[in-house]
Parts: sequence; C-alpha cells; structure tokens
Amino acid sequence: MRKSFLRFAFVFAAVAIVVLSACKSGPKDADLEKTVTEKLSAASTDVTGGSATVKDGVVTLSGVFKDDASKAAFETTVKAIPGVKSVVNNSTVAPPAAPVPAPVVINGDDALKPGVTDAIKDFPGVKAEVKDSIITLTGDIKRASLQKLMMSLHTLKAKKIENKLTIK
Amino acid sequence: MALQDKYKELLDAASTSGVSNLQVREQDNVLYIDGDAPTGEVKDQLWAIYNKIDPDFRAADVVMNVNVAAGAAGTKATVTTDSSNLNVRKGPGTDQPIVGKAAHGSTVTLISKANDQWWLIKTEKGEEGYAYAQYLTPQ
Repeated sequence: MRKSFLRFAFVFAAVAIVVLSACKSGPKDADLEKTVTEKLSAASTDVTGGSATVKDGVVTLSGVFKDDASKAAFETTVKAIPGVKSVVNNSTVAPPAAPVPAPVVINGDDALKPGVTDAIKDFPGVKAEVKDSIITLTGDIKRASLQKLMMSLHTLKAKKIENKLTIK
Repeated sequence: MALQDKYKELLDAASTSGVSNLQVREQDNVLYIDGDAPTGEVKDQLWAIYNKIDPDFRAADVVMNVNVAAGAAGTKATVTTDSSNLNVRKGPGTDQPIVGKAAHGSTVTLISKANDQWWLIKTEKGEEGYAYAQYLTPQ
C-alpha cells in the first residue's frame, strides 16, 4: 500500500513537472505568435505576406514591408511585447515603385500655330492646319525636304502630326 | 505597348546613343519620345531609323521631340542651312523683323535658348538676335 502510494506520488510529480514546463514555454510561444500575428494584420497597409513564428520567446518575422521605416517600426513594436526575448527579422522591403511618368505636354492650337507658320515658311507648297492640337499637312514637298520639315514640327509639342503631303 | 514594339529599334537606339532626359510615353495611340541628343549626328541617326520604320512619316503615331542640347552659353554652332543665309531676327518668330544674316556654313555663338525652335545667337559680325534652331548645329 505504502509502496504504491510512493509510486503514485512519483508519477504525479513527474507529470506535474512535464505539465509545468510545457506551460512555461509551449502555450506562451503560441500566445506570443497569436499576438504578433494580430499586430501583423493590424499593419496590413505596411506589410504583405507577413507571418511570425515564435520559439522560446524568439520571434521570427517574414513578409515584405513597404519601406525601411515601417519594417523597423514593426520590429520595435514586436520587441515591446512582454515575453519576447528577441526578434529575428527576416522580412524584406519592397523595391521602390517605378516613378509615374509625367503626363505628355501638348500645346493648344494658339500656341502651336505660330510655330507651325515658322516651320513651314521655307517650304513653299506645304500647307498646314492646326485643330485640336493636331497638325495636318497638305500640299506637296520634295522628299529631301520632308525630314527637315518633320524635325521642326516635332519640336512644337503637338498631339500628333498627320502627313498628307504629296511627295515629289 | 504595341507602339513601343513597333518602334523598338528607335527606342533602343535612343537609350544606347546617350540621349539624356529620355522619356517614352504612349498616350491615345501616339508614342511621345522626348529627350536631349548629345550631338546632331545622334538626332539624324534617330530620324533615319524613324523614317525606316515609318516611311515618309505617314502613320502619325510618333511625336519625337529629341533636340540637340544647346549646351552652355558661349557654345559655338555652325549655320547648317541648305545654301542660303540664315535670318537673324529681333524676336523668336518669323513674324519678327530681320536684324541680320548669318552666312551659310559660318559659326555663331549661342547666347541662350528661347525655346526648342528659336535660339538667341551672336553672329561672327557681332549681330545679336534669334535664329531658327533647326538650322544651327552645335559644334
């Protein structure tokens, strides 16, 4: 009877140690992981594909942050969570987006007309009409002169240049 | 992007030949190519490629505003008219009175760039006024 009580006490103690040590690390890591994951969701505008794993209080982060500042800020947030021993930050920063090209500058008819007059002046036989920022060329021109005329007209910032010239 | 494929050879040449501030944009089925060519030869070369892809410039799907950078004030330029003398005018426009002539093949000094069409210059004889940039080739 006494022997079996001792055996029972020993088994109980062993189980208690296992359970206690499990309580100490297992659920705690899981809780931390949950907390960090929640914070990642809250920061969804800063990070894509963010995830966190926790082992023995060490948080490993991954994901792509929009910039260095948000990456650093999130690491600081995680380090401040009670129970976090350290952070292995494997997350990266997205490359900067390509700059949006500036819109094409297109001159209005009034700005285009004097430039067109200047450009065709030396090419008798060439007529030009400007409407809705489109230059339309009619009349005739020598092939040797065509490129020269086009080179001047293309500097005027027209929307487009319709070449309906008869080439001699 | 279709136009960028059609004019790929032209765009490749522009980016490899040292055109600075190069901007290539496609808008309403027109390809706008802007930039500063380092030399007149580069500009001519680009126009030759353009003419090859779109013979006689009939397609009306490109506006290529690539100009030779005028360089700093004091740069010399050659008058590259066909044969006649170049009018030097009081202001930037053919409606402006003629104040002098720069001889064909002569050298002028660039003072400033009024715009892409008109440059303020000084002739060998010391006459100052505006000349049509198309007929000036920076040296």
